[in-house]
Amino acid sequence: MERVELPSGTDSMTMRPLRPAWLLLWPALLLTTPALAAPLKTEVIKRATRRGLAVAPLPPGPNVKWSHAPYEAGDCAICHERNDRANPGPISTSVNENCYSCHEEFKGIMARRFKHVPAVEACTNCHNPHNATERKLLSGEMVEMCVACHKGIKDQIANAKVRHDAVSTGEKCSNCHNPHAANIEKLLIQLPFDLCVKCHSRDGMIAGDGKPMTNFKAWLADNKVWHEPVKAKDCSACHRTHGGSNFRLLVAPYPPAFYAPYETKAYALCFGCHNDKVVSVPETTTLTGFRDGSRNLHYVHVHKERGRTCRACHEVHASKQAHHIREGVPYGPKGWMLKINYTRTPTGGSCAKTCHETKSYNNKTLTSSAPK
Amino acid sequence: MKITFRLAVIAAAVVLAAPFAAQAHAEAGTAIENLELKTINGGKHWLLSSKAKANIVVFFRTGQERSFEALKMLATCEKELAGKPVHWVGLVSSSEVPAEVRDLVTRTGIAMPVLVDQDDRLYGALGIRLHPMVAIADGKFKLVTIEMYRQIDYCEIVKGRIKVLLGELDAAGMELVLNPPIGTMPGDDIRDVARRDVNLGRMQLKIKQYDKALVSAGKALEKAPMGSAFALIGDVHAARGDCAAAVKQYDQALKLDPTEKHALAGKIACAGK
Repeated sequence: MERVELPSGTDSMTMRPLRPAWLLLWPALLLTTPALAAPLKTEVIKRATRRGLAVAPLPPGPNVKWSHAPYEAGDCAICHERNDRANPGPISTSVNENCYSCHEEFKGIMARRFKHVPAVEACTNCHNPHNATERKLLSGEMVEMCVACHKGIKDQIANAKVRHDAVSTGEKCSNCHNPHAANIEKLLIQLPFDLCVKCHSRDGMIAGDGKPMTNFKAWLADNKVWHEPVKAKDCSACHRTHGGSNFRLLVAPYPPAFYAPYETKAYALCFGCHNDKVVSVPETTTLTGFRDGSRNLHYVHVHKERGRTCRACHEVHASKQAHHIREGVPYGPKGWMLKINYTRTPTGGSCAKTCHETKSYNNKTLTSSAPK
Repeated sequence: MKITFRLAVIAAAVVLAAPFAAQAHAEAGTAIENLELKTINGGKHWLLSSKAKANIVVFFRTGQERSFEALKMLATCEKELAGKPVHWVGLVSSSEVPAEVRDLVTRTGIAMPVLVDQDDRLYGALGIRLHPMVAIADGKFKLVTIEMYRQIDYCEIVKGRIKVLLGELDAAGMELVLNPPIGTMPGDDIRDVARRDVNLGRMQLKIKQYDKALVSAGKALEKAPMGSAFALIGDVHAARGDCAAAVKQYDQALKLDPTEKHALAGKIACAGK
């Protein structure tokens, strides 16, 4: 068995037949798959850690690195009744009004469509207005603070076999979410695709498994037929952005190899949207255009002990050809590209001199060409 | 067997009538044939309505979380657009179990009738390849677009498409729905941060911390040339009784921002002093 690296935009796979051991292992992997697909919704514990007004200054210490300017200057009366550190008295207006009197850009931010309830309630739910060990005067480490309420996300991060650096590096949760308010659901700063491509748009990024990651800006610019979720800017249709169990943070299992015996569960990712009957029924006149008469050619390709997996013929993000058909498949140890030579015709299409001799199909006739 | 063959002939005719498109599903402008179809409750219902300005066909299936979530959101959309000339129908494959579909309808709260797509005829004719999908057609049964389910802003997008057909939203408004403005973080704009310094300085001025107010104004000016910062410095000078110095600062402020209110007021207050 030779392992070959796919070009940018694909994952590594095996072109050669799998060893018998792999064939035995595959059903076992399916049986041990924890869930068919990650749930779309996660649990939020409301009011778990709302701090309200309990925001006394931290005693001085080496970790207290951040201080609010008025507190640092000893100007207690800017927020409190008295300019007396020992006894400043209550604050003169509501917490947020107090904050907005300097941080006036928040009036615009909090006018956005989607507002974070703790931010609406009181800035002090998350910030210490005196001093803090964290940037932005956060009362605690950002991820810990967020997941104190967002329990579902906490579980995803804690149980993730595959982690997403975006959660733990840079601005952490704020890489993607505005914890105050946003114009997009889930308090996203931008649509998922725009957020993802912001980072995944350079060469040389390496995944946790050591494999190179795609430069999506370049890939999508070069491949104009985009998969529907990409067009809809919904990367989260297939990727679990906070961490997951499947490689490449996929929300559900997807066969990692070129060949695999057909099993519906193995394609949970694809069948999360696509109709499994596209692949599982031998005859159809409606479910797919990849048929010769009524003979379902998806079924033909997949229903074998060495069934071709989706990746054998399709590029999942974008391709140059219709139906996300890839140009070629890597073959041999050096990854020579064996062209699929797919040609679309008004009545179907053909693949030439690739895994097999030239074969064409006609989906405009109705008689079955299935072998009797 | 004969029935299956006849359905296959009909399906093929629909497919042949569809334009030869590079994309999988039917293109905008494709005519959708209006059919009276069976409902999951045993009745009959028209797929489309000529009385509606927007015809919405929701392709979904049971046993799929995305269909469940989509229908829940579409139930909200339906309610929000109640009373408007919008014709909603759900559409499921004839291979679906009616009781399971009815259960899904109940759990999601959609009000639209759910029709049965015999042998996936429409699914095939429109080249629908994913579930759930929403086909949106105008009152003349021309396909406008097919929207796939997405986890973010789904209802807004579907509503936006419908509002365009109702004449309630223009192309620019729809673009804003599809690509909402970036939700900038506080402090992304350095002028906002400079403005905080000015605001703090104003409060320091109020409690007669003049030197601190000048420091705050200086911090603001290090970040951005703010008219309001010069006006603050002017107000500190004025508060100390030095109107000549104050007016110089007010003039600087008004050069940057001719409408700067503190500078305008300060100049008036200093006039004749």
